[in-house]
Amino acid sequence: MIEREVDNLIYILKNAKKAINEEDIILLKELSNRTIHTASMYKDVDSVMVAITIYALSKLVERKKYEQYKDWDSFFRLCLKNIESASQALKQNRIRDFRESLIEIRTAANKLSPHLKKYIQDIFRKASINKASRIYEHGTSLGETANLLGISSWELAEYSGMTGIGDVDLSITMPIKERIKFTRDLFEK
Amino acid sequence: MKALIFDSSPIITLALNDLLRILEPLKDSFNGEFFITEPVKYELFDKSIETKRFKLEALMIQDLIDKGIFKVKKDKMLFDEMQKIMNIANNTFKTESAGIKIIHDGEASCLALYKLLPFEDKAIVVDERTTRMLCENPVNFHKLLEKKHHVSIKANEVNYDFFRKFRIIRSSELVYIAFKKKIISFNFPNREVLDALLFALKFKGCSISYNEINAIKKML
Repeated sequence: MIEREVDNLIYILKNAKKAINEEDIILLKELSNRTIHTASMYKDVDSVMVAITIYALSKLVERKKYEQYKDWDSFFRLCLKNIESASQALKQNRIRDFRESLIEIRTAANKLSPHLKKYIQDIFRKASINKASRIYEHGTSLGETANLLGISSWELAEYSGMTGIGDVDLSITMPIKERIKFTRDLFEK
Repeated sequence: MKALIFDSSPIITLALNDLLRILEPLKDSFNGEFFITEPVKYELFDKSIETKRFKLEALMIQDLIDKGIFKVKKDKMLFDEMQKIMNIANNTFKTESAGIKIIHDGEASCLALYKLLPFEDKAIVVDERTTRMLCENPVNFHKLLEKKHHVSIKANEVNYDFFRKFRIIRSSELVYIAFKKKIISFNFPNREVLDALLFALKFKGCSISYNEINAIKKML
């Protein structure tokens, strides 16, 4: 874990708990983005995990349909409890407990009814792809990003293709006519 | 002898658009070799065959390998060179404490193979943005890193020259050639077909801009 990032992660977790209780989705998404710089620059897996968890929770809070499932309440309480315990663990420098608390949020879905389990697992998978796309956008290669987030390059390519990554002015590194000419010449040699 | 070295990204773009079929006639027309490295094969086949979602694409890629369209390169020299390149690339831009890891073994292995192949006429086909920017415009890439991370990032500019020798093309240029050679054809106005093809590539991961697509269409 990046030492200087500890305070930032504690701040994020503390405010995420508050935002979840107040159903403040915008704040949750902002908090999730706050870890992306560190995740991208230092390839810090803990920052990545926090970003994915908070983003996934924002999606779960946003979509009210999950509330109809009978085991939703207990899952939701478990999420809040683990956010709190992750924050406490970080304050006391218990990094292993911090990680286990975050993992427990994800694995808790395995104990739910089949439908809710499938929804929640899907939300976490999509949250991983979304965060991967942000890290790719920050300059990490597609392969390195997919590896860091544990997703496939296929999913990341598909998702990032729908974003404007290729349209950023700085991304244009050679006049297109020159690249086409080079390719044509290579085929005709 | 000529060679194209494929990263996983353009093969993914082509596969997701049902365009892998253009590779065989393109290779005939190219009159050279199409290579992939072992790390790229691992990414495209070995990892994907384990999933339900991209299993079919993995099989289609294996078929291209079986037919000899792609030759898979794997040897110790390539591995050693890949490690060297990863070390250079991932220490070109630095925070206060360490180098920023920007590329993975798939991309690095393509650069390594390019360096090792004794051919004059060669290019790396890569759709993902980072490797292309690192090779073609590291100054811009440095600016992008600083802009995105909102911090000052140190650049080891001595490394820039190392990456400038690599020549890069994308799936978009390959598809353009396939289109011009009538390997891809539809009973529809040319400009519209090219528009459809290039945007399809863009939306499945090829790092090409709207302006570049419009410029290519004007070249018809």
